[in-house]
Amino acid sequence: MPMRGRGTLILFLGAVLVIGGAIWQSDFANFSVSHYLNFIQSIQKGLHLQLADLLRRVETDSYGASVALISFSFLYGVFHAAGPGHGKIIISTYLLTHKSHLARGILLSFSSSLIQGLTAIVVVTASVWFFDLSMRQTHGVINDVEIISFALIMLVGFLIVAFRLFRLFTAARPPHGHAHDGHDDSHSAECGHAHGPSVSELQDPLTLGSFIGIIASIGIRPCSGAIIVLLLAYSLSLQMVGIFSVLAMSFGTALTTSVLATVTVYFKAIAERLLATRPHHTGSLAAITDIAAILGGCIIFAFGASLFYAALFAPVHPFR
Amino acid sequence: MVNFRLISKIRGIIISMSFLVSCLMAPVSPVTAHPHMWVDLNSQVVIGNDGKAIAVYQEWLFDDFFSTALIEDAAKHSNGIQAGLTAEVNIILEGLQAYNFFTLLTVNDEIVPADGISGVDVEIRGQRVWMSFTMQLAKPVDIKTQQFSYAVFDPTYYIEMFHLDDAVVSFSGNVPDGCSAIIRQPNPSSEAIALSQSTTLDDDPNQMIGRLFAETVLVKCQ
Repeated sequence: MPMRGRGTLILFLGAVLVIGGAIWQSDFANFSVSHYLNFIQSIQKGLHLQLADLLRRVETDSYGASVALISFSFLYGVFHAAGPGHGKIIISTYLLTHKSHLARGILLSFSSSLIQGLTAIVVVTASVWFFDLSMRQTHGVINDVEIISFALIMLVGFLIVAFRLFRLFTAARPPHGHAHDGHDDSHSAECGHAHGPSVSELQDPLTLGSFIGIIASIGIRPCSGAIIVLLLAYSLSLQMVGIFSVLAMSFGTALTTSVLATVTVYFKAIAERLLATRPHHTGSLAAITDIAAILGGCIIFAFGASLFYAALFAPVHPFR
Repeated sequence: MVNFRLISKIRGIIISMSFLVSCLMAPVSPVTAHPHMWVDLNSQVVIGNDGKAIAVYQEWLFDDFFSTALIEDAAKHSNGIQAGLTAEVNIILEGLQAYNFFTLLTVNDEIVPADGISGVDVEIRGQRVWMSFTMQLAKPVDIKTQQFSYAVFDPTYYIEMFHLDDAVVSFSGNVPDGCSAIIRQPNPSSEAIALSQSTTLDDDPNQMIGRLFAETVLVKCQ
């Protein structure tokens, strides 16, 4: 196993991260991100305020207003997910750093968006109907639920790293001294022992545990726009309309999140194809896979931790 | 025998992790903040008898969603909705005190303090809650010789606060000739750069995100 090849790869990864970090902090990035957010925000604001208007009109013009409400809710979901949030960082980090297929990315996106919608409906219904909380009290409940979601994100990141490290340490190979002439490493017959994980071990299937972990940590944090619309609908005794509006929003966010997941998977496929042009041994591919998975877990953990601590120690906002 | 493969793996992991965590931590909190509540603003510069600015009069019109929630709570008050609204709004204003009522007053690019608020009024207009108050300046400002401006915004950017599109900031009282007020729209690029070089504003990162997207009212005299 050539140590020099390995060292340059790590240096390359490190350089990418440092340059990426510098670009992230630059004025140009601030400007672009601010303007993009501004644009998304203004469209979203218009849609959101329209939803209030339409909800009130459902009482008098039920069919027309309901159709408009469902369509606008869907559009709202599409644009809302284009802004920050909705688990995009988590899903794209996971897809970038683990073996991923398009189907897996879309499944993750749709499932987490749907769970978000269901969480909103369940929490608001429970708060308003069973616990008889006021709208503002329900908002307080949602803030607590959010903190749980952030803790779950930390847990998912931690478990990804923990399981991967466990596998690494229990699969550590004894050192050997004979030369490699470029033969395929996974054959045990020639050398008498395996040199690295076999191809099937690198497939890295999405386990049920990972799947549930990811969609639960994203899904338990409901979309704040959905909560606000649902509360207004409930106060106007338009519960079913509110629920359908939230489901339409969930499909909207699912669509946008899926687009990002698709882009992520294709980007990774292109990067992998570029890396595959360099000659490598199965051993180094396994190492890259392990590093990537652990990096992904660390990113997810760090992301969850910053959200968690920000929410926990946030000063009381006069309107929340 | 030392396992070189394991050591190089761990070395690579540690190096990559430290780069990543440092790149990640800084920009995360601004990204997660964006408005879920809207307030329509109306404001007026109050001029005293000597022609100096002594206060800023503000009107806040809350969005339908927040208004409905506020009215729901106000209706539970034993003395009726109007008493309930006054009580709720007073609680809100108490909470806003620590944030200087979301108002940033500057004279010649230096932040100046306010001397509390007075004349709080609240009513329901349409389905929305409307509130007004007058914010006293600690020291009167001679707008003919000094550059007076103010911005009303939520530093955490949970609330978006804008004057209506066709709004005009007027004056009340003994206003000197040739004075007008313009509303400057937010321009994130120049604000971002100016903020990062400003010595008078806090280093609090949360102070920055709302400021980047806030309007500024500038008082100009010929």
